[in-house]
Amino acid sequence: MLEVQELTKKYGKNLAVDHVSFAIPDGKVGILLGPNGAGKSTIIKSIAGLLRYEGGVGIQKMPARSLEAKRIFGYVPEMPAMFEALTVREHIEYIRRAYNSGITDEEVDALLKRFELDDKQDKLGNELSKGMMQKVSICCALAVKPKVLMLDEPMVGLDPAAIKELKEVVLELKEQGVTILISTHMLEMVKDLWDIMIIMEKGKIEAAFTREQAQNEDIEELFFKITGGGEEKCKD
Amino acid sequence: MQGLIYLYQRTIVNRIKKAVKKPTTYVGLVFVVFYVVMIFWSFQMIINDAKIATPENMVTVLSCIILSILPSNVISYSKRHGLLFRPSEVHFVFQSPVSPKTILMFAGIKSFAGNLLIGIAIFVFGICWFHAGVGQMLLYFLFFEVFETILEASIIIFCYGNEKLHEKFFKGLTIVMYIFMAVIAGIGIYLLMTRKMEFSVIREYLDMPVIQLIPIVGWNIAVAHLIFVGPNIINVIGTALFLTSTLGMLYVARKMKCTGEYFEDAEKFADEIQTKRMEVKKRGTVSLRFGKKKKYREAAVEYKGNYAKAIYYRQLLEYKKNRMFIFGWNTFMCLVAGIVIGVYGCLGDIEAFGQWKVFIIPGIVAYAVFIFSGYPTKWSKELESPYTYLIPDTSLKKVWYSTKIEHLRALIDGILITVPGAITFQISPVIAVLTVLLYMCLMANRLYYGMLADTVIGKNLGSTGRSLIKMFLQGIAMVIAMIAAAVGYVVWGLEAGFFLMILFMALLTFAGAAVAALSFVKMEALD
Repeated sequence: MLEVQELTKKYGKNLAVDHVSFAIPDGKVGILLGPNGAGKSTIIKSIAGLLRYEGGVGIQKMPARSLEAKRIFGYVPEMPAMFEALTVREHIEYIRRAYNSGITDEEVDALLKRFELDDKQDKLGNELSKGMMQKVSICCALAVKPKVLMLDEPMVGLDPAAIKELKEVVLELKEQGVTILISTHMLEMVKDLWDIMIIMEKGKIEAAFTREQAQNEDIEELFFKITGGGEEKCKD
Repeated sequence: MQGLIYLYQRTIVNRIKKAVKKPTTYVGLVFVVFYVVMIFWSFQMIINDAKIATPENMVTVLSCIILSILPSNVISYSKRHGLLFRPSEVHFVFQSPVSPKTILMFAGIKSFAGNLLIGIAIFVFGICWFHAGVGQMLLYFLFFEVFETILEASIIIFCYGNEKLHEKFFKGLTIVMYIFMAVIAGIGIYLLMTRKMEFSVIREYLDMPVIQLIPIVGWNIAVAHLIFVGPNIINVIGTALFLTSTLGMLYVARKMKCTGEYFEDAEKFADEIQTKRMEVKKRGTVSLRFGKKKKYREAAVEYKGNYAKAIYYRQLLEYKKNRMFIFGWNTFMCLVAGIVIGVYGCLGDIEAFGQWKVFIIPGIVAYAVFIFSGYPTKWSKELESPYTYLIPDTSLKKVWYSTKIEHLRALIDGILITVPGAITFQISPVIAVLTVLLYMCLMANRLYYGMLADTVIGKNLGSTGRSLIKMFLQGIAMVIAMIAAAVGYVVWGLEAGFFLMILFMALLTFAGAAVAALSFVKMEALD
């Protein structure tokens, strides 16, 4: 379970996130939506522990900054950054050791194969394209064997095959009871995945639905109904 | 922890593997060995000539090092700029289940390794240069490696890991350290100016008991006194205080609660450093502003042309938005240099140079243009924009309009550096104008040959390799121009020689620009 309680973040005098609270239960996929500058990245970075903030973030009822919480938390940032002198395989090996995740060599092989990285496992970090970096970043997050997984714009830079694979992985993890939070602008890509939708605007939650509450309404229509962006676009 | 050890191990192994395959590594190694040997012998000569080759004088040198390094470290760690995290560490290490303090210690490994190198250097130089005993040096080496490292590690945790003390405290600490360094240096300079310019003055000053009683820094100096000069009441007290305070700081650092709030500052700094690294990689130069966004004025420009001309007008608009317009440090330095030359013309014996006095200013500007790498200009940014390549115009025009403003800047700088001297040297207006033109030519030559080295010839070399190629090409152009000047002078006279020099320099520069224009043909040249 991922819980965010009264999260507030200021950059100087600028209030980026204003008392935001939400929770994603076990085995559910939450999607965090909102226009540019809504505060999504700030929330994501706060959950990942990269920012100072007021309020609380809980991972499986543990404070997010605790080592126990970090052990079961996987994160795919918006901009992947590789260790220049480590190969793809060594990135995964680093994760296995850092998290003591128990992922086996066979599982690593399968993961790399699944994301078409098996023939690139000896490539160094500085030899990878942006798409490949994104794939390595996803594989590393999965190598943690997380109970809570957070993905920030995970489909950007991925080829169609990798997007398809990622969607399947998300659904498999969901079946296994993993909590997932995805922040994205690509509404079409997550329309089959989500259980909880959180729509943000100007640092606040504008609306939050479960799939049942939305009654199968189209994700785009729902989003534009809340943010008003679609209507303006139509008028234009 | 296991993960971090693996990470460092693999990084080092892979880097070494990669380096041994590159011929440039061996060239670099030869260069480093040569440099170290040169430094060793030249300093040994200086120390022997100055008759300061004693352990007591080494204490003075060590005191200077401690007084500058320790407060500088506190300043950089207080600003949270002392440790360099890479974006990859932000991505993978900050998220991992490792204590934030352990992450700090691993990041500090580079500093600690630096301490080891400094310790070895002090050990060798202490024996060879200052004739200190091996036992003394060994004792100091052990002290340096153990206690200096403990002290630095504690300062790192105190400054980065502290989540209770307010940001204002660290700002205050930084200011106090700056004031401390300024006062210590100020007193030293005052004593040197009012007494005599000798090492003994500094030694007397830094040997004062009060220096050894300054908390932490002075106590650190007291240890050196105890080891190399022998015990006295002051250095024994200072040493005891240093050891106690270092262990006390270690205890506080261990007990301090740290949940990783410093990650935010570390991430921000990592991004800034990464941006600067990319700038250096691409252009070989970098601005040194950290954490502050540049402010721009409101401005407008009327585009009086299309195609490549648009590049010029867009640059003009950008410069108009700058608070200093096209003027910068270089303009200021030219003004200062011009005034200094002008004053020298008033006070010095210029007539002793005879008719060669006209070459004083060209000589100075040629030297400055040749030696200094120059300032960041806007042309190189043009190569990063795909629009530059897409504009339907010839590459030569794109080169010209991307660099046109730089020639205007050179004209203004040239006037500033030439006119004061031209007046006081009583040089003819024709020669003064030719000197300004020569400055413009030299600057254009540096610009286009730099472009040539950066994007056409040296795209596979590092920034140092590119700088060397640029200097080599500039040197060739200067020699050819000087030969032309000499021939012109012998055959037709002074003005003709000067004119021929500029003509040849301009032709060679144009040839360089024409070749460099290739870099505006396709973006690939930049990679």
